[in-house]
Amino acid sequence: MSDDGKTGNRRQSEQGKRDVIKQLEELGRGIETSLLSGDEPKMMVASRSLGNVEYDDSKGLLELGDGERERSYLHTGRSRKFLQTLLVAAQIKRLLLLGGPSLDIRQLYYTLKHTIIDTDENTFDSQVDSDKIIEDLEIMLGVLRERMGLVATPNGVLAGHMEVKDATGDILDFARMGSAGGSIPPSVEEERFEIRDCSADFVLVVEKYAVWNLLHQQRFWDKENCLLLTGKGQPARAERRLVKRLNDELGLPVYVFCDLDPWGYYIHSVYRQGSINLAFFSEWGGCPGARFIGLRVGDVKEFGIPRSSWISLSDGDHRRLEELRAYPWFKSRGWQDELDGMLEFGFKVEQDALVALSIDFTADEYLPAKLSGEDFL
Amino acid sequence: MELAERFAVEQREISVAEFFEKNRHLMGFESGPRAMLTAVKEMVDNSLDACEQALILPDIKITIVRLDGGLFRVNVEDNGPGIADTAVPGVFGKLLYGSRFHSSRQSRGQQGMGVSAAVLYSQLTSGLPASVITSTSPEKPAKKYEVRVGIHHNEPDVLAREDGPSWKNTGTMVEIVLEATYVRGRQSVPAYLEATALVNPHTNITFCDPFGETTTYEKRSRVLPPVGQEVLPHPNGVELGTLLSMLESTRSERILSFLINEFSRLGRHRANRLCTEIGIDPLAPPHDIARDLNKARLLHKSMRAIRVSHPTPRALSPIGEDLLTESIRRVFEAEFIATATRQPFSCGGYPMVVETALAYGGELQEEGAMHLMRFANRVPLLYQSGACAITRAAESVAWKRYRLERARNERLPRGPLLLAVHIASSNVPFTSESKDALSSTPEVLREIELAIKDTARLLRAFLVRNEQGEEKRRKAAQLRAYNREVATALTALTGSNPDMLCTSLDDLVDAHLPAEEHGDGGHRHER
Repeated sequence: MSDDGKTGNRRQSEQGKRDVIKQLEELGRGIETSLLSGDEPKMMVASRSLGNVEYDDSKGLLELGDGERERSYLHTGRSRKFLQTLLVAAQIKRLLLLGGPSLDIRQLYYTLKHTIIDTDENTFDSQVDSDKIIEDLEIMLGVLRERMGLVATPNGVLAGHMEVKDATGDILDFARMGSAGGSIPPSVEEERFEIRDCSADFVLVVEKYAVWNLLHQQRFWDKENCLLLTGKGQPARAERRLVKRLNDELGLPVYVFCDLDPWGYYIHSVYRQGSINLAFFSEWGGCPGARFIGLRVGDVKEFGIPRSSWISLSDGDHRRLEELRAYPWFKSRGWQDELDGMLEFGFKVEQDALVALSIDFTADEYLPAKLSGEDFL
Repeated sequence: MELAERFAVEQREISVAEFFEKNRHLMGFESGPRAMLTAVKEMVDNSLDACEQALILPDIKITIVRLDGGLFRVNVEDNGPGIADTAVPGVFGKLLYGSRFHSSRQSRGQQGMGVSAAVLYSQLTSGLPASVITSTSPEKPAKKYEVRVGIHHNEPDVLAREDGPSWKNTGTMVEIVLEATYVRGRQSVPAYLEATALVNPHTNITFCDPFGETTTYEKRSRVLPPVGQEVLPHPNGVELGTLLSMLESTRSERILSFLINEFSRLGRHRANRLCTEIGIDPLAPPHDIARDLNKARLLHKSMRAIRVSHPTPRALSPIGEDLLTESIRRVFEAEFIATATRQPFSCGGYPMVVETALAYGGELQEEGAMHLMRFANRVPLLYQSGACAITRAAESVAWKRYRLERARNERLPRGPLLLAVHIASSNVPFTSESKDALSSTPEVLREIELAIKDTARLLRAFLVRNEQGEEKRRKAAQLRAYNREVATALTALTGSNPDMLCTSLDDLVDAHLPAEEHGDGGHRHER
């Protein structure tokens, strides 16, 4: 039992903390200097609107452009945001100095929320406000919130032959996590989620929990020797980060299995190129190497998915399809054909629907066929 | 035939006093509160008129004392010229007696039955006569009287007449005992006195109420209002009946000189043309026209139609914008006051002037609808608001355009608002004999509405400036509150002294957003 890794990790995280604290202090000093020289204190904050989101084709990732916005204290409408940013920054520093447990971002919100004296206003009215400020700071400092002592509620579960040393020091064997599988913890950074051993051949990311659960009970991960993972719909950061780490660090191929609908296509793209909202996170959470396994339009005919399982595309679905067709990262020939195909088909199908063919169909027929066929998008 | 003769026997003349005894509502005594108000009004009006005519700045004291049996003693004392011995019986004991009924200049007296009506009412309800003490010269002792109205023959009944106390100055004190009700609030004596003080800023008014409380309205002007001059009637406004009686009684020998001498605004040339246009010989005697109804009608019609200059406003005595503003400021302590005076115009041939004042904020009540005060010839109008042209005009204004809001069921906007409208005219057109409401003729409505709008525009400008100022103040106050939070956060990040940072932040905010704004009507509380 070597402690080197542990100590090394701890050292790393201590250093990381100190770096973050230094950066926060620098932010404060910059503002103080302006203030004391009589200038209006301001911050430059990256613009997070769609207009400032770019797709880097060579990297296969979504990125934030250079667009910046000035957040100045005296400007009507921005002063509150300015104040909130400083409050979050100061609190993060305090928490890091305290060295206590990581706080959930909701809890951070509560530590900061109070009524401003002499006013009827609260510092924060909803968690969304403080979440966005945290993201602004992540971009400003170039540091993930997990390294600032902040975490969010994770969503993902994973089953498969992988052994991990957790932040508490416990050893987690994801092949023996019971019927519910292993929860992906809020932070999967190396210092808190050390992958000690993994004998899986690939990663299968499943959109929905119900489908994941069925596959898990059928021990699909064992039979096919993969890591079976789900983010339960739209993935949170932790599972995206983990998928990227598995692909990057362990070189495991990643296949994504979603509903046949615009939403499913998009969820796959979140694991892959990143999300528009968190474009800056793509660097850490985007896995350009991931491939889309299905459900695809062609599968309907090929596997004979019954008519009763087809659902008509709604107006919302059509709108979303149009949006996807316009995104640069869906511009490849393959994707354009796929999207056109769905438009023409006019229906969507949930991945759950495969059980209509038979309970075991997904595990025994569909997935093996797709995996061996190697026809991925 | 027999029946009619029998009826004829039963018919007899009723004296004026008898008539009014049986029709109290015509005098304004139909209810307890109204009786109180009318009595006070008549007595105070009397005093005011007397003082003004004698060029004395009025100093009036009103005392009301509650007695047993629903009776009240009302006492009004003034510093006027006093009433001559020969005039006392008539003034107090005879109805419809007085000089002011005939004049064609602005006078508040046109609006009352006279103090004798109050005397009659009081004697009917209490059985007691009016008690009058008056002094016309400081060298002689005052005279003391007890007077009643003789009901059956409308002749004064003087019960007592003797020497009274020696007063330093001239003046009159009148006291009556009557059955009435004392109320406070909208249509009450206190409201009336407050309104009277408002439009008569040259008077001192002291009021002792039945609860023993004394209110004083001090004069704000040492200048007597200009006495409206006598003017000749305007051709546009004369009634046919009046014209006929003038034609009958005139001393002029020719119709041409009759027109020139007895009407305003008609010169020789105009009068000549008027006659020739309708085929009347300008040299004809007026009596002939009087007797020829068709000719008279024709003359009347073209006089009504002739376009001459407006009636002269010399007959009028408006309050004046400065005094009005000051009055309102003193009595109501409003933050902002706008006034407007329209040009005099012809109302039925008589000159009329509309003055308005619109006040906002300060000590005016926040809740509730705009307080509307109506005045005609410096007399407050307290009743029949719904029928009054002033009310109608005020309700018809599109207040929303002036940044004021109406509540759903109300016709006037809400807020800390006061609108005072004063109509000055030598002949105020009332809707009824009770003279509580102005008649809503189109030209009157229009003038009032225009005057109100003039003031509303000024208020709007003030409100806009206020809002902007208010916005800046709000923003500055918000930032100053933020400053503390910012200083605390910065201190956590940099370790600098929070007070020093806070001071720097406060300086920054002050430099960018001034703390106070100087504007019209002063500014309100801050912090």
